[in-house]
Amino acid sequence: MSIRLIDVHKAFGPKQVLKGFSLEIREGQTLSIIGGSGVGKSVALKHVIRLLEPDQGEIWVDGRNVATLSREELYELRREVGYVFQFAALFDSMTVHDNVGMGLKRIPGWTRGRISERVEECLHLVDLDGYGERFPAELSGGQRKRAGLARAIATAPKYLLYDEPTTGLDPVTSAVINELIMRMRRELEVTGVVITHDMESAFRISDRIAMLHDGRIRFEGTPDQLRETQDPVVRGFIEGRPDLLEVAP
Amino acid sequence: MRVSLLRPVEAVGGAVLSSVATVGRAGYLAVGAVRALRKGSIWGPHLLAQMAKIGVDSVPIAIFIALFTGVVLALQASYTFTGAVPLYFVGTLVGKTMVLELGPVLTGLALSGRVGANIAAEIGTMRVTEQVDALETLAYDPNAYLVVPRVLAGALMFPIVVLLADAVGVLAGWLTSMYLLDMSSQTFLKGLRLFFQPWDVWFSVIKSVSFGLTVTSVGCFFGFSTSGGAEGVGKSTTRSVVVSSMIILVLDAFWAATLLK
Amino acid sequence: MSKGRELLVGFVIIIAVAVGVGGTLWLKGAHWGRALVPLEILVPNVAELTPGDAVVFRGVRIGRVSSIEVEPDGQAVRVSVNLEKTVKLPEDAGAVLAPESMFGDWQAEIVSRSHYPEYDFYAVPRSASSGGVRVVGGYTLPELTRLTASAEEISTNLENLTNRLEMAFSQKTAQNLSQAIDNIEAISREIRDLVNQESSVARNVTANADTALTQIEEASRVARRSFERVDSVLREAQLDSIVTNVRLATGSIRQVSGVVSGSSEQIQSTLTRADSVFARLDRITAQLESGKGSLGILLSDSTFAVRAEGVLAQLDLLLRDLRENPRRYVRLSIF
Repeated sequence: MSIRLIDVHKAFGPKQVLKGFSLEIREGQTLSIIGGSGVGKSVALKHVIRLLEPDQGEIWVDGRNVATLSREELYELRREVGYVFQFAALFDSMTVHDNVGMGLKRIPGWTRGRISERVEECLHLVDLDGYGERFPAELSGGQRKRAGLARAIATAPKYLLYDEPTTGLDPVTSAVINELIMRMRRELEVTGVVITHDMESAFRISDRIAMLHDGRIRFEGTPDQLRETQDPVVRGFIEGRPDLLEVAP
Repeated sequence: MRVSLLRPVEAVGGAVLSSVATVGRAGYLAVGAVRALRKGSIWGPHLLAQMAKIGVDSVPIAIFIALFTGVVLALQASYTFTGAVPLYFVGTLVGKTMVLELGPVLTGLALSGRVGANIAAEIGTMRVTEQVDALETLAYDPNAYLVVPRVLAGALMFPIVVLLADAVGVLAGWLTSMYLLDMSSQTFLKGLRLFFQPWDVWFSVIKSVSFGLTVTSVGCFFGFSTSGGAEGVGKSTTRSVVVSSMIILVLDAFWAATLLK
Repeated sequence: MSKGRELLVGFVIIIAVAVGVGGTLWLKGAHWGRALVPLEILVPNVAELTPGDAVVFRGVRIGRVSSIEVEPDGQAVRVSVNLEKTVKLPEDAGAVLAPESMFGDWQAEIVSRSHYPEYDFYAVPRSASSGGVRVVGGYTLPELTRLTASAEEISTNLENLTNRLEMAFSQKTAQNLSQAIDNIEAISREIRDLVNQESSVARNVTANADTALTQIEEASRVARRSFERVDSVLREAQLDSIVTNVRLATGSIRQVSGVVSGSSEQIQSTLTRADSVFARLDRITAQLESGKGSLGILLSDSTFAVRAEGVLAQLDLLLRDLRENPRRYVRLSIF
């Protein structure tokens, strides 16, 4: 059981973002995708749940070809693959409680009481007990990300896709989020895909790390392999040396 | 040299392609919205809230506009008719103009600012903050969740607002005639009734339904097309108001040409 | 969504619908709970009567026109009206369709036909009534535009008539002609007076009436000219000469048979005279038969004369109505 992206191409107008992106995410692991800003990490991730459709290439989730799914099958898939948005993407007009319960309302058989129970459970998991009645505008950045995470896990997904979970947070809050990502894996046995350019975070939470460069995967391996690689592009990125990135073939 | 000669041709081609693309995306949205009509469980709970927001909350501004339009119509009519034409034509002019034209069009234009801009900004913000994507991940069709309740509410509530505006405008003209122009109530009513047709009211309603559909769906379209953060939201909002105002005026002429024979 | 908002939405919708429906009915003058009495009017032409126009009896509005439809056979128009008041209408009721005011809206007035013998009410066929609804015949008053059109038609006819009359003419035709011309002049005067009256009321009374006036004056001038020509024809006694010629010819034929036994010289000259007379007579009869000559046309085209007389009668009628209801005929063209 895995998520596989095979030779995915995607362009926005004249701008070719993905040029043959292939990656496999095996169940039970946490994989981080690193890479510079704007190289298309989020774009790649959004293909997994068909928020974007590839110009070319295939995406398979647990043996299902995502492109051929009907609307209902797609919704089913999306319940299994939670997506944590970069800025949480909470609905401004609803309380945190309603935000988290939103996805559950669409599942037949979920009564108001059962949804409420599940929402409390999820808020507890992200340490937001008692914040249910607040509106997103009343939360801090870190709290919002946690609320977004709670919403993503409400439907008890097998996979969780994190879009830059620690971007824009102070180091302490980042550490809290990293801790949460690990807790999700530990307690919920969720397979995680984390997009980040925060190397500290990547080394801390990942079983494997892949680097996206120029529309393709440049490197894939364990954190230890990453530390030892001699690829100048990868080295340039993790050491923060633009000179290495520029001379690379 | 060759390149600079071809540039205007290129520009024409580019403009045509991009407008075709825009029409295509609008059509895609329309088809999506029509399909989403089936998903009553998603849009149903939001319809009433949108009717309140789009319709009821627009009543004060519509009434304000109609009030002054009615007053001005009466005063200008009496100024124009002095001497040559009997004064009861003030009633005819106020009634006909208000119901056939100014009630629906002025309300439509005002609401393209109030309602259309609001929708474009709201959906645009949701788009750039990925809330629209979030809806998708939570198994909500954004068309059903965002577009259908707004467009339906627009189509249902615009005629309601316009009917009230028509009535207030005529009433304002009537009161103006009585208290500022020293006409008798009967004189005004005689003129008002002289050429009145129930069809006029239907015309007003048909027009305002089309304006409601236009303003809300244009707002939704530009909201969904938003990209580029806060600046993008601003652009979409402006564009939505400009485009829906233009469509309102074109539709106005279209209805006059097709329905008033 | 609080209950209060829901209430507000419902409230606003109900008010707006009530205002729309109520206002429409009120402006249209609908009556609830009052029995409406249907009545139908058959007329050849409704002019500018439209549904919603008033039905008047003795000057009081008693109902409205509800629909106007051309009869299936295309011979008349059926105007359905609803009377809101129960009134006993005269036995010989008819309807006069006429302008209600100077501003173009029309009305149907229920009248007793015996009061308007000069109006040509539509004769309602027995088969026209259906479903117990009373059907009355109607008469549509002509408008000012038709008045001027009539005057124009008459003057054109007169001109044609006089052009064709070259020789043949009778005392009666001359009388008709001079009467027609007098009529036209009278109308012209009437309208001028009327326009003058109206001018004092409303300053820019309409190019419409002015044009009509000019047209009628022109027509009258043409007619006058034609008449003068006819007059001169009569004075020169050419009519007599042709009649005399025909008589002479017939006389000559009799003479020919009488003098056959006379002297050869006499016979010769008689025959020569007879020849020329015969030739002329032949020419005239040939023209008469083929309908070509002026006299022939006049004789063969009897509808021509009938039509001219009909128009004169209509003109008379209009003139009388114009005197009685001058406001009907001067229309202000504002819209």
